[in-house]
Amino acid sequence: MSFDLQLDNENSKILASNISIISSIVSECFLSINKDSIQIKTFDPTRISMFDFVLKKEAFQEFKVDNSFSLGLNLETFNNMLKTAKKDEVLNLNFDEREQRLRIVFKAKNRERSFTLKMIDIKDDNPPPDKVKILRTAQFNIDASFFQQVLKDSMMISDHFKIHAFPDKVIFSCSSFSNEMETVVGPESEEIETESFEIIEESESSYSLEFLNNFMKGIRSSETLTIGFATNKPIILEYNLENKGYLHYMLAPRIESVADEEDYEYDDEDY
Amino acid sequence: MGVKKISDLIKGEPIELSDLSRKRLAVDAYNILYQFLASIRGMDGSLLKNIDGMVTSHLSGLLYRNARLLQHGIKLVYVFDGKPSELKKEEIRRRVKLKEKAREELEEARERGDMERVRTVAQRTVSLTEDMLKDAKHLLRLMGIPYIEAPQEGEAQAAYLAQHRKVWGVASQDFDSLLFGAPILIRNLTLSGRRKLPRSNRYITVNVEIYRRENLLKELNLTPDQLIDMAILIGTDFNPDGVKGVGPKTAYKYIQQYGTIEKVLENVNIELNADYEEIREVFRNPVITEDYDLSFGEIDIEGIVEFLCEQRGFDEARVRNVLSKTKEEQKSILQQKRLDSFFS
Repeated sequence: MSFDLQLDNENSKILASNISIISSIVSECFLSINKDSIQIKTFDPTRISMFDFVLKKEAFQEFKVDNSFSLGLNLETFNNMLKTAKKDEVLNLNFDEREQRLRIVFKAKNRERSFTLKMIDIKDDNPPPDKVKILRTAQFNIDASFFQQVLKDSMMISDHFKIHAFPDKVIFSCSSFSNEMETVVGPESEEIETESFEIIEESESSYSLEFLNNFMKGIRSSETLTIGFATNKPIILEYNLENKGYLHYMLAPRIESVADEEDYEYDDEDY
Repeated sequence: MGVKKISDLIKGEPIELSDLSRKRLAVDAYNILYQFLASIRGMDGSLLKNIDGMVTSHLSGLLYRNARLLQHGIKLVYVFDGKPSELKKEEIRRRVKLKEKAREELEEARERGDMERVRTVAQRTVSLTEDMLKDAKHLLRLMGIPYIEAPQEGEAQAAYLAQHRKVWGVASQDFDSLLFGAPILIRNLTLSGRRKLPRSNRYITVNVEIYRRENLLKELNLTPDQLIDMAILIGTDFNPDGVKGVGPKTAYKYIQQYGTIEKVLENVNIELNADYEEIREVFRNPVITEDYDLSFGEIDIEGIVEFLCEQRGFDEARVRNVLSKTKEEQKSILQQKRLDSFFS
């Protein structure tokens, strides 16, 4: 098992910014490689949210992979190494099974810097399922900067907010004992892509601001995101990297009732 | 109490309170209340009391330590002992005797003016009274924590709930629940954090520990029945003396070598003064009840203020403060669902 990958400066930045977003919530995870792409699919440690990141071989200048396999990565360290990239550098990632180390090499004209990152053992008894289906009864594309503003406004008031989607508008709101916040936006607005606005039925759900904000912090404000959700179901934020891949973030809702059924029984996955 | 000595053979793994979020834990109520009575005391070693002389040490423990656990979204179920089984009579007589001795020693220490000794010995003299139990249960109810009255052994009932996955694990300082079949034992649940060492000014950090029965049996290479036999050789609540001269390591060696108590007695010249078949039976088929209610409630702040502050002399501002913080954080954790619960 080995690979040799090369990314030009622009695409190495894309890799770095996505790793940075993931590493703000997950400190270690598996990086999977196959003949078409590299992928990170991981729950956060609390299993409240999940990332699905794919960077296709189209993003690479060189993509030599001899097999499909996974590496355990310390994502924080990997992120710190990637962040050191200079404007004139291309990025090489090499892995050789015998060494169990990932080599991260930045090359510029007459200059070369490298790091090696030791692979780690990760115990993951319940990895994310291969196919994840997120029910969406409401979906729209929204300006990242606008959504970031909504999160910022909400965090002044509470640690969670509510999204309420109607056929003709979306309302973001939250409240505390004494204060409230509400943002209403329609499909004809500049912040939402009109043709993307699709509400199958009125949908209403609450989500943690901390998780969403950690994710959104790393998204460039000029980007557009797709948001999809259903009542009291997870929300999905899709950040598309054009033809090069995508970063999806899924987050479980907060549900008003804290009571669980009295006859609840734990199953194997709980241990 | 219980087969504590078994800790010479096995080590728990550290676990964070946040890893126990949303999990139901059956708490051995007597075990914890005695812990509170022993550790929550005034400077002179006496129990905390209100102006009417009613003991409040255990209530203070229940309030503040439970609040800390509830803040992490941990769901507690307290299990109280019922009538002790005939087999436990000897152990109970032994404990009564120990307390009598401690009381005498306490008097002597007081006369000598040895306050250090007074503090230490006082911890060993306490008994839970009916009034204390009544107050404890009342406070639990107000905190939204369900409790169960076991017909006999609380640990057995708690283990039964864990075995049938009504709760995730058992929280106790004793290891008995593992003998009773609990898959998971949590120790130091209410003790974790920085703790002062007795008779010294040094502090240590106590970690919450998890013991998994399956791993333990695998590591020791014992069957569940052999674990029980080993414990009987060491000494349990039902035969506190065990076998003279046989500690955990020897008992383990014997069971590993010979497999059962019968075979050990055949091959080794030791004397076991206990009806081991009956004790085995208590561990394998303990008396438990199916009649219990596991409904978790909300924290009743006003009710607690009325009970603890107006009737038991607690400071209202402090009580309100901790409870409103607890309620908020508890809600915040419990309302947040886990993503994987939507994938099945």
